[in-house]
Amino acid sequence: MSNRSVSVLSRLLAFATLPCALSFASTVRADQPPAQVEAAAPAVQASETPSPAAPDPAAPVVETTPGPAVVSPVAPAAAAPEPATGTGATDLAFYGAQAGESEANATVYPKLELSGFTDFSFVANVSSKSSPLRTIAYQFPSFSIGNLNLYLGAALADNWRMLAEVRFLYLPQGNADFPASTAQQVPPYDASALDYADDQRALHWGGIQIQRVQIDYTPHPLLSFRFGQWLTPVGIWNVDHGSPTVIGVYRPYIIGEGLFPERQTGIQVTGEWSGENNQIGYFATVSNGRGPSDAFADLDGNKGLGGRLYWTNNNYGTLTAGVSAYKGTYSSRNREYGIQTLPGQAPSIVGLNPLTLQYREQSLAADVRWQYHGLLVQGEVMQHEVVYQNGYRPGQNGLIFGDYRERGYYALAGYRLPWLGIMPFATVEGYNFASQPFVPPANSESIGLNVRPVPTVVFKLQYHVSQLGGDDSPNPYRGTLKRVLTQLAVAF
Amino acid sequence: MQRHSRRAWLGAAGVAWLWPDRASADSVRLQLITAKGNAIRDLSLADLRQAYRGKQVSIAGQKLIPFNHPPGTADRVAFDRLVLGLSPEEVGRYWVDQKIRGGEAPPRTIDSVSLLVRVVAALPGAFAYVREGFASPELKVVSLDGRMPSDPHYPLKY
Repeated sequence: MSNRSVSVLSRLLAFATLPCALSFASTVRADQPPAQVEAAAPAVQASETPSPAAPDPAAPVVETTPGPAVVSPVAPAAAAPEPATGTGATDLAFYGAQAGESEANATVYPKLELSGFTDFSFVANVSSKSSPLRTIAYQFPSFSIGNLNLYLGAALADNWRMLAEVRFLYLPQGNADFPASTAQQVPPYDASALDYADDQRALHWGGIQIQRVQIDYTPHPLLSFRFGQWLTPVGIWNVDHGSPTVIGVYRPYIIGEGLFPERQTGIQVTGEWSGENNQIGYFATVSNGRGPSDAFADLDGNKGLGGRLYWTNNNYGTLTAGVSAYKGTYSSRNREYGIQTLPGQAPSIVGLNPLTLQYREQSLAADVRWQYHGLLVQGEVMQHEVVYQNGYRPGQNGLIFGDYRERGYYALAGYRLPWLGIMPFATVEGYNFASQPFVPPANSESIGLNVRPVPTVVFKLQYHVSQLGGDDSPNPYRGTLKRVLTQLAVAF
Repeated sequence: MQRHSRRAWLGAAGVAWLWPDRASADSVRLQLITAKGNAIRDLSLADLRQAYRGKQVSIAGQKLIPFNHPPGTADRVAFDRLVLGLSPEEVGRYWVDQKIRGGEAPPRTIDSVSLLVRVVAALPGAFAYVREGFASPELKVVSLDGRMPSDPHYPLKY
């Protein structure tokens, strides 16, 4: 047989075996497949015997695994002709010991998984017309796209994984910061540029925020490593920050106010011990700490240290309690060069890089979460102490900031009903706004509905009342803020 | 007489409702299977739960690779309820939430039992569950907390 004939025959066989490979690809689904199974894909015969527990066509398929549902590649190897030796022999060829060797020797490039979440909100300020907060924020009812976050993940190898998350923003276009005084006008930020691809018409550009970039190495359940920029392991909703997982429309005050660094760049060590009905886990972190460039530079050499301990019990639902801590130094410096002249040497340029702001900080937190069937009860308390280095304190309107201690809490209770995933919920929260001298302590309550008819779609409706200080509060920002918040959040 | 008969029927129906037939309630048992050459002989319910929550579990130096049935199948629904304590809706929400928080990935699902057992038989560390009585020369049944499926106190039954 000539080479050409062999080639033609091989192509015909490849075409004939393609449906088999496609059949396998449709039968194996997961997010993070073992590499061996992928290698095994082409060998599987299309004629599968039906499962004794075959899916009931009437039963709803409720598990949703964002990302590529079908992961087995239709490998070129499927083109190889299969000897008609029966299923067992075919399996051995691909599942047997040789398969592992070929996998180890092959160059396997990890597949990139894409997933994410987004949310669409409508917020209306329904405070009384006499309330000063009626016009401070949310003056007019508005629609908005809040988050458009994209996850990029890949299983790099056994025990190695990578995850990046970026948020796409409309900002800074239209951003108008709070005025420093009543006499100041702050115009909305104009981030427009002439679009050369559209006949020089104006285009408003937006930004990208890198939420995290982490590389995980998990050699053992008791000892794993996370390198890169990661969300600080504190409490519940700092890591569970995606809008579909947050019950209300916004996260509570204390989660977004930076009582802990929201994310850090450094190394995280973690592990978990599992017993029959209990798990005990830990996180230990070392990072650049906080600073204006903490994602890529430490401006003081004092590493931020932190950690978290948690305990989970599964006797009655899932009960998790944890404590977290963080200690670090914030520093900001200007870049400045000077001339240094040493005896006997020519002058050289050196960096002076004077400090402009510095403080030491220490944060503590505790959290508890209990899920029992449809019931969800959770709460977090946090404290953040800031002590400025004298001479490097910030100021505003001629006032020098003092040291402060921020404190806050929130509690949430909800019950997921068996119909359409409806969860009525209520929240209470408090925050002393100690870091903002013009804002008095605030308390707020809310009631709402979190409706999750399918796991990937969440609709939220919330009535939120915040009380900032009292009538006699010396802080100028005060009053009652009442808002109706709605949101449609989806995971994809 | 007719009234008496009706009362008896209602009474019997009430008893049957309160005390369902245990034999029929426990008619399906799910056995854990792995390759015959695998060192795993017994799994704890805690390890099983961890593995099916996507956590890394190693036994005798062997990393466990769990495989699952498709969502919505009777055995899958029962397994999730017995092992994870989650309803089908809760399982769906659980894995979406895991994905958003950047957590563990779910075990792979395989649509047919014949393919499932072939993968389990060939892949080191792989294990899955099938109905009791499903036999294959390449597989062995793994006990759960020291109990085999024939044990009256075996937990994976519905």
